[in-house]
Amino acid sequence: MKIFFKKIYQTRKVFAILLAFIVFLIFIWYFFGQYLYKTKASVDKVKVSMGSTGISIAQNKTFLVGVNLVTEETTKKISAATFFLKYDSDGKDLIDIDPSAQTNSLSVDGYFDEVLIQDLGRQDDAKIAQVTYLKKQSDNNLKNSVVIFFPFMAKQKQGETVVSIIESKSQVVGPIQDYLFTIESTNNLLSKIIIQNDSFCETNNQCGTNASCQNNTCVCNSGYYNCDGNWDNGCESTQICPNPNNTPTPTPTQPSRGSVSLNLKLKFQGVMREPSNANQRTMKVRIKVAGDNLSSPVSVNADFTLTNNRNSDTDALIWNGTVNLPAQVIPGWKYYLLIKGPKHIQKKICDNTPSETTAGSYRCQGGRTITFSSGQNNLDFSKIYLLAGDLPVNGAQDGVVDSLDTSYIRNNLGKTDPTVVSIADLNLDGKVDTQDWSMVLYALSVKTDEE
Amino acid sequence: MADSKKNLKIIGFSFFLLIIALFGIFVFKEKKPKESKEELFSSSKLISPTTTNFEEVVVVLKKVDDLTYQILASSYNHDIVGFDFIVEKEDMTDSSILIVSSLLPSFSLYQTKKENFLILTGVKKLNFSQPAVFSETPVVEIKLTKPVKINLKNTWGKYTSKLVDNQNNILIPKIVLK
Repeated sequence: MKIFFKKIYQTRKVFAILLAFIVFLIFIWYFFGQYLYKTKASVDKVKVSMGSTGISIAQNKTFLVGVNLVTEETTKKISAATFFLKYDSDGKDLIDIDPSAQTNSLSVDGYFDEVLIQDLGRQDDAKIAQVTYLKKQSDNNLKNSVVIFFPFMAKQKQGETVVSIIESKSQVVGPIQDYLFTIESTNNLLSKIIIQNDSFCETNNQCGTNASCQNNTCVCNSGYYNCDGNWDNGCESTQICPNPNNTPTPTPTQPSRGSVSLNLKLKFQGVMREPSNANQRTMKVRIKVAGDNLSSPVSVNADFTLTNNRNSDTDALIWNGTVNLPAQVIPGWKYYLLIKGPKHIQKKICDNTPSETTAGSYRCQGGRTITFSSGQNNLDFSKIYLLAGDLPVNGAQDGVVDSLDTSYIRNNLGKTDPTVVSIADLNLDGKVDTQDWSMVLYALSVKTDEE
Repeated sequence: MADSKKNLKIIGFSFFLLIIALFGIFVFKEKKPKESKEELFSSSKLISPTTTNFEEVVVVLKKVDDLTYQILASSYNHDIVGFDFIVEKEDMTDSSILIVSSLLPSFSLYQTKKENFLILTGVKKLNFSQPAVFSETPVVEIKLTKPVKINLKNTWGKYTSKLVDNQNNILIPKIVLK
């Protein structure tokens, strides 16, 4: 009997040790798993979104693509990130990563102390780069929301390309090494980049001295001339250039290549009188040609100048412009045009002389096309309106008339300051007023660029 | 007798460990942030490259009954002058009609139908100067002619759901379906 009890005591002893060990293991597992250390299996999320879905930039200029990082839980902080970027797909060569960018310019408030930029060359017909951001300061200075920038440089060639984040390879790191967030994208992680001509601008600063930015084009101030064609130093000469690159009143683009050129007449909604500001007598218009042999539309920008002509006393003034189409546009083939003014909705036109009964009601329908002949082609689009409403609020149009456009006009009613006027003065009367407001509301009925 | 004391010590120690473990769990759990309404709004902000402040807004699609939905907005102290919402009808082939109306007299509502989406744009009228700060404010009512599932989307194509304030700030909301 005594031996029996002794055995029970011994069994209890083993059981107690086992119990203590299990409890200890459970505690260690729970404590470290939840509070101290996380691995790739972490479920904490960071929301990643592009700051802008579209950026327009002049040739040979550097630019930044902004990205927002916000952790799902405010207590989870960001200490580092590495992003793989893909750009210039399909063999394009329009932009390069800019390894010379200043570190403190690559995150808001210079949050990251060190940024490593690596050009990984071309893979699968697209360029790849890796950008790594590190914050070396103490944990107390870490934030859960950070804005970072990828530095790029536009090359000489004009065109469109896309910068995208390779989500599967990119990582955002928490406050300790190997603590990785799960990346959750709130929109497509890509930004369209449009490389414009040398004189393209969004702010006056981009035009150098003695020049200003009018309708996304650098224009010299009166009495100054840009003779070297470089806008970084602005309009450096007070003497008329032997071969002027820019004058206070730009002249229409002259044909220089390709065998098809168009002499176009356009009419913009609301422009009933000559603008008081001479710079507003020229408007930069984007013309796209699509159809027959073109897999995607080809795009050309042209300056249109205001005339004193109109179709009737109550009609808007007519603008003239000449555009030389790229060599891909072949005489005798069938095409249609997509025309977009600097504050306007894109219009699809497939008739030589389209007309309409109410403003903006013309539609290209029924598979109609335009056939160009070699040399000059005169196309009169002055019997239809190009509706205003897609404002370049953040420096670029987004192809939609929405609450941002209406709000911008509402918030600036009565203002005459040049920057606001260049964005929201639709009737070119030198101020933002209720007529501009009415026009943007009217455009809500069309809403989006015609394609 | 000595063995029995030893066993008691071991049992006592294991209980001590258990209590320590429970205490540790309790203490650290307390340190975890609590789910609050404010937290619900966090991490929803998309900012433009020129904006660096992080603030929060939320938009709720609330089912009132089978044929009625409401869109409620919280603007987090921003004075709103315009908004866009993308409403998706899940069944493309369904023939039911969505009838939308503004629940705010100070806002006009414009709508555009594209495929199975309804793009709504709210515009604050010029003759209203009072600030429009939303706090779970019903802003839009959607009536259906027959029961059909609808969603509120953040983006579709070129369109985005957003609120715009009187400083031209674009506020991308966190969307909640109720």
